[in-house]
Amino acid sequence: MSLQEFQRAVADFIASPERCVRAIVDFAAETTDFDLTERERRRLKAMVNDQRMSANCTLFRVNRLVPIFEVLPLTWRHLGTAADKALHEFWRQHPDPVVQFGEEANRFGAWLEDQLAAGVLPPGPAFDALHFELAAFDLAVTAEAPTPGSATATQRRVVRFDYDHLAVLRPASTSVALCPLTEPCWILLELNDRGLCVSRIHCESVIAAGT
Amino acid sequence: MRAVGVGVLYNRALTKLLLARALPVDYVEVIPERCWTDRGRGVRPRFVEHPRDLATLEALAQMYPLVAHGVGLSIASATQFDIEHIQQLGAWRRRFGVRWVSEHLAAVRVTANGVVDHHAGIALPLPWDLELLRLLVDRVRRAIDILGCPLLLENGTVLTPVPDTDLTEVEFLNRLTAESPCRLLLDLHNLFVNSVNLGLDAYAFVRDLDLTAVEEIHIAGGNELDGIYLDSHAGACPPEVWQLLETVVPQASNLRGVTFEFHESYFAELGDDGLRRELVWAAQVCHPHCRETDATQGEINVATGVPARGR
Repeated sequence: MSLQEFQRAVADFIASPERCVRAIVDFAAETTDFDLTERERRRLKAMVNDQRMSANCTLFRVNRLVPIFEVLPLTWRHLGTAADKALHEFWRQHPDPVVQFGEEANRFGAWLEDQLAAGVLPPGPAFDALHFELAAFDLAVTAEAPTPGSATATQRRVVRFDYDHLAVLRPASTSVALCPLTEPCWILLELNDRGLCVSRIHCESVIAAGT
Repeated sequence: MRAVGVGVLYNRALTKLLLARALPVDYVEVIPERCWTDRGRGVRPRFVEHPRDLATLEALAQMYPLVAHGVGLSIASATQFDIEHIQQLGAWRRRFGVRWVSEHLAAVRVTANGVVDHHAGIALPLPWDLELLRLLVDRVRRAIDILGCPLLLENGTVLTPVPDTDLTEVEFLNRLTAESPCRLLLDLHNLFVNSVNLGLDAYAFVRDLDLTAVEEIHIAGGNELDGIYLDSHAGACPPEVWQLLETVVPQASNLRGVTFEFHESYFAELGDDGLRRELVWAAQVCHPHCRETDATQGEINVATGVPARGR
């Protein structure tokens, strides 16, 4: 039980640089909620006061960012200057790290949708990118392995775009100067033996695509 | 003559090269957790496998011996031991004929706020105490019973070591391998990282370590972030890692394989030729009798396959 408490304490401090700073000033006050032995308290105090503790805190944040950034790079780019603020607010509301890429990307995506619905974030190309990237990732992990021939329903996703999809999906694109389309367009993602294929389809094809 | 294989840690950037047999490797190391989603303890089904990744692995398994390198067990967590995770690894090992399973000697999960598997975000610094030793000796035995194959644990990196421990890290590893069937995956880049960041003497570490317990070695590259050198798998191995490899290999009498790791985001920088060069150099250290290998051709004449080694 003692080791368990020590590990919980170390994890809590690594997750919070603010708490580390407070503990340097008043260690006793910051450790009242841990059931530690005197030896463990001495150890923890030495670790919190180690200059390299800040690097631990940085790595913790890097490891939290990686699943989101790797699955949603275009979404991140289109969020632009709002990305950093959004991420920190998301982390504040969801302090538990999730290192499974798909789960964390979906969690962040759902949170962004909530922010949109609540009017905190404005609509924009970031949401087209978000839907596209989540669909592509879902295909990558859940679809059956492609074989020669036509794709099955598990190998297809359809995504609605309210902005020019070619501009949104361009790797170096930003949201600046992108205007909404007068009518939404529909994009088919299909996994076949050549890889992930993306094509524009007509509205009536959406139902036929099996989604 | 002792034969040591050279392998590569699989990532998606390698798929085409490996399926085309375009790399000089004797085996392929895979991270099992990349092939399934773990929905958590108590959820059924808990492990949801990824069909595409499994199809790739099935193809690779037809061509190469596979070894598994787990990243999610958290064997050194004082929280409840995750037997289901071991069972999943064991089922997966039997399915793909995996030769051995390695894992990190690490604690990445803690119990917090009533959550058993709260993820710590990074591998926590470990106290090299007898309490942890007893915990691991028991867990290693149980894990090997379920896996049905050797279990190797890997030394890690640390930025803020736990002070005032019962044992040094080397003493701890020697006790662990003496008192349990645990074998070691010696990550030389991790050792180098600790030597850079902590001033640890890497040569004293390998001098004092029981190298007969080492059955696999990892080599990799890294880079700096805010003055800290990281085990980021950022391309080619630094010279210090090659020097350590040349020191350790002749003394590691039960060594089975040397595995080169790199993160796929660095593949463009490393390139096909750079990757082959790392593998060929590793083979030259492991197979001194093959010195005639022309490294510039990216081809190597080595014993293929991973040798079955009795103990």
